Amino acid sequence: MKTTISNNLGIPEVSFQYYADEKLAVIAGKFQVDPNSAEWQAIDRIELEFDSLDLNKSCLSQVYMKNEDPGEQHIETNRGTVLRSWIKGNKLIIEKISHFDAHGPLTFYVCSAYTAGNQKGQLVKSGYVTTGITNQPSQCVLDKKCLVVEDGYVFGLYSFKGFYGVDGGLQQEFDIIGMPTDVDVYIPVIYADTRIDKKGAAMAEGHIQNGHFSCTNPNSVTFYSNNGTFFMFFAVRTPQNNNE
Amino acid sequence: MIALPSIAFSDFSGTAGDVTAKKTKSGTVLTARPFPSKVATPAQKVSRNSLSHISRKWRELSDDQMRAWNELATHLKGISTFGLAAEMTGHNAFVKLNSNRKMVGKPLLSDAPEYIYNIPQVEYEDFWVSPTMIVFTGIERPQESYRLVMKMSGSQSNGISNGWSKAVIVAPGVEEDWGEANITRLYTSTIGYTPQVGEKVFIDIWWMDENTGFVGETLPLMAIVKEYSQVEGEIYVPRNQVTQNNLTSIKDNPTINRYNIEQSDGIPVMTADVEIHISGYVSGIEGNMQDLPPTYVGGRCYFPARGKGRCEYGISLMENYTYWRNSYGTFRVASRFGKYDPDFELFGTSCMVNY
Repeated sequence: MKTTISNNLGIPEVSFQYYADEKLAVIAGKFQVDPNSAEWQAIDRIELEFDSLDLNKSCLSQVYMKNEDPGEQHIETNRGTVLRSWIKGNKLIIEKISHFDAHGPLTFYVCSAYTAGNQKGQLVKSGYVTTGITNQPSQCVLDKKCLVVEDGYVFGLYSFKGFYGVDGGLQQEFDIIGMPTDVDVYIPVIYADTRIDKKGAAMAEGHIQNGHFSCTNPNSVTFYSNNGTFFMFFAVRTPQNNNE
Repeated sequence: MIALPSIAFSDFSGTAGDVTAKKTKSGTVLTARPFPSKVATPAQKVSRNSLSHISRKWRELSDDQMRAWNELATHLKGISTFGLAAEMTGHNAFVKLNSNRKMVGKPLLSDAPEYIYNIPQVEYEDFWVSPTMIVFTGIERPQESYRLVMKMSGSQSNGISNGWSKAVIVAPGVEEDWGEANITRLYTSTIGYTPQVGEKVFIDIWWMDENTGFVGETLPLMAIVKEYSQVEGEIYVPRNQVTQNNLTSIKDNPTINRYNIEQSDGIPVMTADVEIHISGYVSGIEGNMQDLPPTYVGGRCYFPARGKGRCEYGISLMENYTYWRNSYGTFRVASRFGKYDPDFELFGTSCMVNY
């Protein structure tokens, strides 16, 4: 775990699951921000400072942001976007976008890998394990899937042709084949959302624990839970997460 | 420039024929009247028009703004070819700093910036000047706003010992990339030909602060063109990186503002920073790739893309597929899941997938 020693958001310290070697750092965790706070209004980017990070500087990575108040949007749903993020010095830096401020609080999902730049060796395709989903609702249909399992971290990518929940309802859950049981991570689920008059993407919070995925789909399931829903994440493997 | 010691000639000024006389603190100075050379390159024409445009803007400044530039000019002194400090007026300072900023696409500064006097000389670890590449490595950028400016000559005969006067600006404000500045394409497009092995290339390099237009001290270098590095004599190892320079035969004329997709060492991880505008009805771009290192690994990777146009901030998952073998390659970036916007930024870190 890595815990922040300061931040420019005016929020309490945040603890993240953390894995690092000389080429890569994986950071996973979430935190919430009140967009009405004076601190949020004053900053032009988010800075979370740690006592030390293994990489002094990283390439570009991504962090997801979701608003928590669906407000009076056409179809009640939480929306958000993806933000640039990188490491510099002992700080995790995240781009700030204010578009979703009116529907705060804002939740930030860090389930990201940060790589050292200027690597000159050859990419190696390693760590792949057979994956898929099981015990899913009948109208939940997996499309593409990929799972990389390394000693300290995992990478997962799952996309769906249909994402309807149990009995066509909002609750969605299934088991992920090959997912180590020591992964416990909150991730954003992103919906295709074919309505083009809305800014941002419809999003929900997913949770993977003990190889089991769960989330609650947005209210307007007929619009959002169709072809094209996906989630993609890096997560840290930590022995204390092992629930076996 | 000649400083005249004779008292008989100490009190006149003006231009006669090709000679201009000017009164200075240290006496009257005669200079050859500057004429543009009769044959100007397109770049020179643009530069001269730009200087003249900036110069005209001086007259639009308020009295206070002019006073501030005059005050700034007292800190700045040009250096004459004989090493004597030359006078600099507020007008000179305005033109000099703004023409520097214009090189990197920055708008005109009407208000004089605060004087910066400590922009350091460029430091580097090694550099290569070969017929196929001109690359500096190990560059530490002292500040985010600093850009590299580089003047280089065409390759000269090995017998020439001083060819810096033949150098022209080939890199007008480059951002180093992880300590590397690869200016191969900038060089060949400016000079018009590649340097030849065994010949000499003369280089001037300095930092420019893009916010103010101030520049640091020039570092003069001379390189004999060869395949190995100039300092350590090593072979250059390129990164497994696809940039805009590697893309050819791109279909449907998309506008590619940024394209950098890079592979990590020993793991299946890739990073991307791409910005594209697609004007047609397709949901991606495709074409060929060239000039990648033999160690580049083709495959399929997915990155999140954020809409900038009709679906602003919408997220789609885009597939980056590349094929590379025996110096031939193809690429594709296409929306696969989520909410597609043809005006998008694709960025982040992901893993190459196994299908």
